[in-house]
Amino acid sequence: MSLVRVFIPTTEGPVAIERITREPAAQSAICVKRTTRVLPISAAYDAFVRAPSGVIEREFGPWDVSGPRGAFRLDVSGPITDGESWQLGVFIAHALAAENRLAGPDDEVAEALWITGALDSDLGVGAVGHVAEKLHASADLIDQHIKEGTALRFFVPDTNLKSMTAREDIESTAVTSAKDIQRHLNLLDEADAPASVIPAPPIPANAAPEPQSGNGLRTLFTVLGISILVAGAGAFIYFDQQPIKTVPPIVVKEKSAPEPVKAAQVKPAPKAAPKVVVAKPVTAKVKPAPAHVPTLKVYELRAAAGSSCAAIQFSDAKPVKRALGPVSGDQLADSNVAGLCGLEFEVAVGPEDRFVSAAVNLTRGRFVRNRLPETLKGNLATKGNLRWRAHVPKRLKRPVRYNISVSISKTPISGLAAQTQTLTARHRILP
Amino acid sequence: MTIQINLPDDQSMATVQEHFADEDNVRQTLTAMREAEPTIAFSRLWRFASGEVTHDADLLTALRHDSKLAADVNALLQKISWSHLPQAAAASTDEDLRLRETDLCAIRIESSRAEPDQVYVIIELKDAEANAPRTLITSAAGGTLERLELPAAQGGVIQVLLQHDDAVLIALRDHGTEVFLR
Amino acid sequence: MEIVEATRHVLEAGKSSELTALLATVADATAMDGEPRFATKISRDLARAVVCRKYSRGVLQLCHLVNAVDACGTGKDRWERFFFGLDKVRGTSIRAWLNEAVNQNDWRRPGFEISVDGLHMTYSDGDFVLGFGRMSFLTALLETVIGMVGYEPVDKIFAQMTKHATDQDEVKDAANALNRLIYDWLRDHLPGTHAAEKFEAIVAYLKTSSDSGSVQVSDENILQFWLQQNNGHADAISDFRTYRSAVGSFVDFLRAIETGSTQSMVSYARPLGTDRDAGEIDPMVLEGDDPAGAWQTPLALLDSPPADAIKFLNKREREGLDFLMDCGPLAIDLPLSIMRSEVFGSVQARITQALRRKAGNNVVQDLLGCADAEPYAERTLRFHDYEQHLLRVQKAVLHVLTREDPGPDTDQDPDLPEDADTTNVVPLFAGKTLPDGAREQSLAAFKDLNRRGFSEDDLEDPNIREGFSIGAGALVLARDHLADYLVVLARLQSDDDDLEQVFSTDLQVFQSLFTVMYGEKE
Repeated sequence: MSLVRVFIPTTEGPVAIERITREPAAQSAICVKRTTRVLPISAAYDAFVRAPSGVIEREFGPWDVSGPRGAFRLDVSGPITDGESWQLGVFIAHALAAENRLAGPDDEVAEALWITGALDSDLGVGAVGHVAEKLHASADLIDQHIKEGTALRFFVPDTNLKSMTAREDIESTAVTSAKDIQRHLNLLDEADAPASVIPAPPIPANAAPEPQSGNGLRTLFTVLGISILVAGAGAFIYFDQQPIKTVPPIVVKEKSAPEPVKAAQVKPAPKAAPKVVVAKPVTAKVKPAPAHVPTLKVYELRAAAGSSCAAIQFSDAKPVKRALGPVSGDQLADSNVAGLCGLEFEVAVGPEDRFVSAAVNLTRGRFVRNRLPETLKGNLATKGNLRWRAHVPKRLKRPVRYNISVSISKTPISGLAAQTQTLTARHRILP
Repeated sequence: MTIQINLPDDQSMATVQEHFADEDNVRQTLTAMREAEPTIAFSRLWRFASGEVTHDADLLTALRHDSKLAADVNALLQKISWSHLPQAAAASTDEDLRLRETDLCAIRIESSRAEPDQVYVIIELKDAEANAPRTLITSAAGGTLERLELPAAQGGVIQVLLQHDDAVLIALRDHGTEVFLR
Repeated sequence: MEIVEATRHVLEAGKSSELTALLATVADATAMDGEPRFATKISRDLARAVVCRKYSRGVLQLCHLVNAVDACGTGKDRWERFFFGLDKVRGTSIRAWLNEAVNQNDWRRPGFEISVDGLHMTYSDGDFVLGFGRMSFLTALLETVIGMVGYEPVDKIFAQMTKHATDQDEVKDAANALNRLIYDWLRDHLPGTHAAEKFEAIVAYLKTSSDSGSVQVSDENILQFWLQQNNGHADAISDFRTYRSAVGSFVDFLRAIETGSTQSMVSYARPLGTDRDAGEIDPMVLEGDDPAGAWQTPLALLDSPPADAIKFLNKREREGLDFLMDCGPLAIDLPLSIMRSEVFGSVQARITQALRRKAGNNVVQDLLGCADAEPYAERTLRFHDYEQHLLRVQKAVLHVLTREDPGPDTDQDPDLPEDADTTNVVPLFAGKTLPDGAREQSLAAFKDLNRRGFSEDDLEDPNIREGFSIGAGALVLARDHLADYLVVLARLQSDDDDLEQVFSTDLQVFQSLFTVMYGEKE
């Protein structure tokens, strides 16, 4: 029985999947170097594993039918930070582990696989981002395999194939389904063979450019690409969710395609892996419309007739509020300090609990008081409308410039780990 | 230079003496305060218990030596915690605890099969929709307090992986330890 | 031969280390940025309220405040969040907290209202009003009470009270329960006072030099009294162990005579300052301790919000002026007592510190020889320096108070609030016009002071501006007092026995007694 090592490429370098163990735990987890360091993507891994929505239990389970609930522990050689490009490799690792063919760190292996790709519930492979960087970061691994003469095979989503051209000394295989690799590894029953599999053509010149990232599994709040939509009269600014890109089909050039072979005839190639492309278009997933679009509004606060800024700043006097409209992008209309008591910021989070982190970055000048509520520090779930105020100096020698950035996430916001939706605004107060 | 005083009569003198006593007490106290060794203010205890401050080495040291402070922090934690798991029953003190349970949750301790030196601490919320706790604090009988920031709950379960000699785990397994979930 | 054991000499009789440690803990409590959580004056007022057992009114107010914050807070720890969640405890932050809490949660129970000055509570049997400024003191009081009796009993009392507090009797019951706990704790921890013995010792000493009802207090007989109390009593624990405490006791005695003799004629409603928007300074803190006209050190105002946000004096200046300012006008009649306290009192403090930390014999011997005692002439020069500094600060304050206010709010003047304590300030700066020379000087002084509060950016903060308004009066008072004292010192310098001569004589006296008190034993 030949052992196979699976590498998940990351922009920091390839990460080997070293072991998969069934544990008496409640949630599946990914641990680094067999330590207690649990990676933040473990929650996503647990969802990837757990039936009914997760593919691992569905494809390879069930386990623990009569015993206590269990879960998987997946040990890796290094950190995998975020994204979904690990899914295909992890799936294949599970498939290998189910046959006791997943190599440990000290095992001698028949071949090693370099696999990147997101996976949907039908085991269809979706495009991922930064493949060229991941390939670049794998240079040492590739050189080592070349030097040792051991097999290292590369599997990438078909739409990412162009990104693999940076190295001419490797052959890459485009895949559209996890089964393509399972088949290569002889892990499939014959019943799972496809009706038609054709060897891959050369990478087409008009292959679609590599998308930044994203596939149909992405949740409502996964936002990586940002566009600003400004509604003029309402003076609200928000970033919409990233539009889901339609992935064009790979064009298969007839002249370069060898004779199609039947699935039953597909065997793992002894040295070179076949390039496999299923000649059907990848269907763009339709994303549900958002239930609520978070907004950020900025208001000027001025004293009403008979009142004063001091009354607003130090007692309950109600100010006259005026919403600031955008003039360009996230740039709000300038304010004049004369008579301006302060600013009020309002974030409409929506009806569901979210974690919100706000930052007011003064690039010039200062506010007299600018204290963010605790609920805007990213570690407390909140909903509805959040407001806070900044008081403005009475007189200014120079303009006050600031920008405000509000991040909204389903999970606590710490560093860059959380997937966030970001709202921004820029504003000036003139003397 | 001289200050001339006509001493008051005995009755007034008693009043004067009371005033003197007050002034003297205040002066002595303020003088002594300059030399006094401040301890841990309750506001500092509250900051720690409420999670506003997560690391306070001096406080943790003081708790081991000041039983009154330890009683205060336990009472405070008991009041503000999401769930309080008191000391376990004395009948089962022979072996390490593997399960603690309240109306709101159960804390299960499971050894890893893959790594025998590692242990899963699994907090299962009885209401999966409830706001999940974010911090686990153990308070040992000797005043030692340990704190563990918890990851977010998934489907009503919070899971942490610890080394078997982790102070929090040792405390959790000790029957005499009270556990607070915040 | 050996150095006499430190503790026998260092400890004043009858002190409760637990109480002083607790008060020091509250005074020393810090906000998240490391700055004191309470203003210095709050800590002093707290110490006075506790050791003089004048806390019951505060406890009642505290219970009303707990009732109110319970009615507008959220979570299980409603009152704790208010009292301990506040970072820097000031009237302004308290008001902001309450406003925010009410805006977010509204009142959970009826009968409460936030006014401009504070909280208005309506009960079935009457109203109760509490100013924002008072709440800082009550917060410190609560922190102290929990430090005394523990959290759980206090929480139980408050929990019981907030269940039923629809009339004031319920609140009074809670206050009484709390008072009992405090009383019991203090019974075991309040210093076993030696005040009676000290008082009698002073009276007896003064009477020995007079055969009538009239007695005299002077620099000379204070020194003689201290020598008499300690000379030849190396092993005895004296109530007047330190020279400074002896002088302090005479000052207290003279004040008590003044207060006790005139008590029936004076009002106890002397306001200390203003209670403007924030109501920072609250005369209720003193609970009627001070009769009208009694001296209050002007530095207390500088220790209180909002003036405490400005660094008018650094630590050395503050310490160098503290005792003189504390003694007030009595310093003018007892100038050498102040000087001796400053110079030889400091030497004595260093001796006791060295003994406490078990310093080497040679170190202690050097200190006993008073080799580093600051000669009176040099100390006088240092007082002159302080006076010059106060003048510079006054000029800088002048700049703040007279600078143009281009702000749009013409309906009020933030620099000179109409109800601010601007005694000594308003007449001085009336009309806010200055000759050009004075304006330039004040601006230069302001720019030269590289301290917290003294920058144009700082002045954009209304709290800082108000701090200058309040601090201005205190600075004028402090400098006037210092100037008076310097005049007296100048007179002494021109006497036949000038200050150098007096210092030389005193040096021998203190060397001799320190050696008896702390030196080697046969």
